[in-house]
Amino acid sequence: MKAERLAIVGPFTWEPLVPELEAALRKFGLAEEVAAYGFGRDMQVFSGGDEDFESRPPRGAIVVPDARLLFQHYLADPRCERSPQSEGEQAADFLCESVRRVSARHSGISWIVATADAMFPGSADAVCDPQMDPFAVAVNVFNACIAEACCREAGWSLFDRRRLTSLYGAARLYDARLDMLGRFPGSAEGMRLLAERLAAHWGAVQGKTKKVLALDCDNTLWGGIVGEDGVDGIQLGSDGVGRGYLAFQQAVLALESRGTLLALCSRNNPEDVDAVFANRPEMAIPRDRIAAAHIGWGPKSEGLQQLASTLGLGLDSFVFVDDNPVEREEVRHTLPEVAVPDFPADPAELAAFGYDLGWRYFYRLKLDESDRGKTEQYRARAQIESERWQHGNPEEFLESLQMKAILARDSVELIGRNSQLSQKTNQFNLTLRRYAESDVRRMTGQPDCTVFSASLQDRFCDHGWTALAVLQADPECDGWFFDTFLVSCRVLGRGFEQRFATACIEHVRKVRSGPVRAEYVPGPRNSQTADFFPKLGFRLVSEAPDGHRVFELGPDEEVAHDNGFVEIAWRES
Amino acid sequence: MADALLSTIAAVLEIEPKAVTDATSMRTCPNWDSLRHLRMVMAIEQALGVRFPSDVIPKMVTVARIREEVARLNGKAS
Repeated sequence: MKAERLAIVGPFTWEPLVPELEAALRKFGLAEEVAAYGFGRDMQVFSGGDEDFESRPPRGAIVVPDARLLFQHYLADPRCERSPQSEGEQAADFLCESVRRVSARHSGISWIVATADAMFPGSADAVCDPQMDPFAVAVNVFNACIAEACCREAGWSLFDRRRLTSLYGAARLYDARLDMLGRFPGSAEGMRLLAERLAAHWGAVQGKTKKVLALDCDNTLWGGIVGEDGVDGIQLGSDGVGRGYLAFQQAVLALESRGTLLALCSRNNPEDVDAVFANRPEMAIPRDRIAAAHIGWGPKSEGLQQLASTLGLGLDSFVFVDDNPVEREEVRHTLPEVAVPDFPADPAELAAFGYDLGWRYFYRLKLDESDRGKTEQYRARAQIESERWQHGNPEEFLESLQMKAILARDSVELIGRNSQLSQKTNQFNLTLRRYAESDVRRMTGQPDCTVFSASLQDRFCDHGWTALAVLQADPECDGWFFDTFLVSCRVLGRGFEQRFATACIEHVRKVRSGPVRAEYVPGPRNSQTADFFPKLGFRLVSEAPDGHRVFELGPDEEVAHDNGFVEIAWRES
Repeated sequence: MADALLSTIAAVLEIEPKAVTDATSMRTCPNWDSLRHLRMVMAIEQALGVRFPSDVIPKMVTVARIREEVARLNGKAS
């Protein structure tokens, strides 16, 4: 099988970027081969004249415009009479229309559209009076228009190159000689940095985003050691070095508000850490925004393992930040699946480091409702776990949860969430099929396919849309097939997953009454789902040597599950 | 330094380091095209910490010319 492709399209020479981008993709566990459509070929891609692109359309395409080509008339003659406002809008319309035309031919492509950057120091963004610098105005209008288009169009996302420029500076990112002689898109370093960020972005499109930021405390969240310097002796606040730590906390809190879970992993007395949260008003991160904490004296790798089990998340979704290089090395060595960035040597760099973690590990294309209040849900999960132990009778406990599930069919509103679930759910996921938004959109509302979503509430909180099932019709036997069945692990083990599957089966049987088949595709972490369907009364039809199993429930066979303690309601679609 | 130069050039051209001599040139080496020429410039600049002026880059079409230019930038006689 040929590797999936990621295309990069724009009027530059991309060849030197290709190996850098492929290497950066590998670090995210992505295997795409990069196909370059550079100067001259970019327009052919849009017009449909590039045979290579047409015959092997990529899974994703990055479009990189060049501001100098788009608005060269202003560079040639700054007194040019054309309105920079309408020039910027027209150029953006042309680009968006070109992308839409390709999408019409190849609907499965996820598009990453880069902003235009002027590529030389001192240009653009400096002067906003259209009389003075129409070029800058046109570039800004263009970028605003494509940003808006990326919000509007499903399957498009914006890559803002100017953020890279403001982080590192144009003088470092671009090389005028390589640009002049070879249309290279950047300096050697600039291309490496661009490749890294593009890989992080493509990772986000593919759902390879980390979920948990596990933080050390002493000399990481604040300056000094609370056990030695005391609660009042640590550095944190609006003066001097304490400002660096405060800014870092603010950056971390911003990540939390966008859906990243925060955890503490610190070698300390728990009372000391609690005292800092309680008694230092400068703490930007409130205690209730921390989803879980492991404060103790063992190795950090053990702490992280405990956090993973408390939160019900895999270690490969963790990023661990610690100022101590020995601790970092211990974690890298013991738990290679945890991402462990280097820590800045100087606290002055902490703010930039903190905000950069977002781009490097927690990059999000867009936020949905499920990203808000996530900490609360995970805290509730931890609470439920502890109550479960206190209840002697499990049934009484489940009943006490007062669970209500809301189910939806072919919901257009939930396309983004459904795609996100298919990409992020690794444990309770029977088939591990990953769907981009454009894939879910294609399946939603099709007559021979039904997309089911389910959300769960209990007396602690609303867990949001946490389950997805895709059933494909099988006309040959007038039956159905579970293409996808997955449930987020934070709501598992309470009868919800069985109730959801039963409801899906009951629904599709009204349309086609033949057998319902399902499969289990073994993956690295989904072994717990192997006997899910047999427990619902499905028969094992076949099992391949690699563990791949196919199950079937005959037309007259009942699902072997009572309704448990989950009440269900269908949402009007 | 000569070794570092030759091995950098060989790596970019994807040929055996032994096959690179002062006489190796853009004309005689099929792998040495204009794209690789610029990648070679980038690689040499990174390896040796020099920076070639843009008007010289297109003229550095033999290994001997590159060596001369590196020496000139390093303030030595060629």
